[in-house]
Amino acid sequence: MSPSFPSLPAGAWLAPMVALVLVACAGTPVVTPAQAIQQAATQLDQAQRHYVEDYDSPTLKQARAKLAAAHKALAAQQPKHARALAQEADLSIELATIQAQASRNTANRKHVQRQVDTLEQLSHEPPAGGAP
Amino acid sequence: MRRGLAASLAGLAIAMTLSGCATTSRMLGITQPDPLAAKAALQLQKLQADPQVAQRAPDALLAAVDAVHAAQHPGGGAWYAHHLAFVAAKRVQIARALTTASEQHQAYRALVAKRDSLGGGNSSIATLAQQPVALPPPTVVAATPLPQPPAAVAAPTPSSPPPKLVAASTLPTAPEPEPEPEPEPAIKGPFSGTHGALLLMPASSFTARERLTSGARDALYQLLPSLAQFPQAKILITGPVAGHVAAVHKQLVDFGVPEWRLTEQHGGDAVEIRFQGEDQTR
Repeated sequence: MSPSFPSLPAGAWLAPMVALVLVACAGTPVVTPAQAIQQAATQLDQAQRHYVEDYDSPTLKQARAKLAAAHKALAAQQPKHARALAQEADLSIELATIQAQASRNTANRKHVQRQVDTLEQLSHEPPAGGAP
Repeated sequence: MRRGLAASLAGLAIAMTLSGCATTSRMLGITQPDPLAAKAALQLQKLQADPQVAQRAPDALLAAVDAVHAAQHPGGGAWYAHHLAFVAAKRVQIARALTTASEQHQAYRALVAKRDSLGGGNSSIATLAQQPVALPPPTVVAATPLPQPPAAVAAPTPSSPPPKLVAASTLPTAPEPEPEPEPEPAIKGPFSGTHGALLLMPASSFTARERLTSGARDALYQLLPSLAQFPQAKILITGPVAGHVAAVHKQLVDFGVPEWRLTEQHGGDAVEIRFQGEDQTR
């Protein structure tokens, strides 16, 4: 005896179909444009607190410009543009932060290199006559 | 008929949802890639050719690959293609920056290990202080010279004992030599310390964002040998602006001064760094 599908009203199939398609389009972001802008603003504030601007001012300036443009797009009822610009701001801030860290690592390396050079120099110097 | 209605409604729902997906226009190949996408793809090739990137920033490299691929097959209009290209360029730069940061950090750790093996370590500054030969000597004010005898004698240097006078009995009684004045700190100019302070930093030492100027940073660095002379002494940082005091605190820690040595206090007219307490060898 072959199985048969139950006879359901047309509308009963609508919700499952929509849900199936939404799952298939999982790439669509779930963060609202306002949330994306807020996240970027928070990241920018964090970067400023950690002196990122000392090391990479142009990229951070670019991030601020993107964030300002995102605010404008949101006010102009352009949510897709606003979300995209917030993402661009976020990426700029991330890049500036990493480049600042790279610069700090370089500065630390040079600082310790100077200490190593001094210690090596001390270890090679002959002891001064009569000095303790 | 009911089945037909159901099928058409389902198809309508699918079409309406798909139209909101970027995948649709991408599949249809409507939008051309932004020129920036080609540059990002070229940079990505260089990244992929560097084994260090795959080793040090594999996730960032994968993200860059995905972003470049998305930028080369855009959809949703010219502005979206430009957005995807921007994202791809940034992802590539992030992967490169992460690799550089990792390389520098590894080199730094290797040097720290070498410094420790040479007798440095957390007390590296104190170690340097035990061998003052390598340190730049602090500027010392010359001691007040004694009254000149008929036979002129060279003024005594700080490191050598005063020379004996040729005929002490014929000379007028020399007054009690004044005690050698406290040596001036090594730092000159607007940062000179007075009244027992190691360093005074006026408001001009800081930017509008309460960060140290490069000159102020250099002055702090030159202060390190003085701090190293008393490796167990606590250091007090006083200032009227909390942000200035915090900036100095942070810079000293970045230079290697242990946190436990540093104390902050509010007050005064300018940022002042001094040893805390009378007993400097505590």
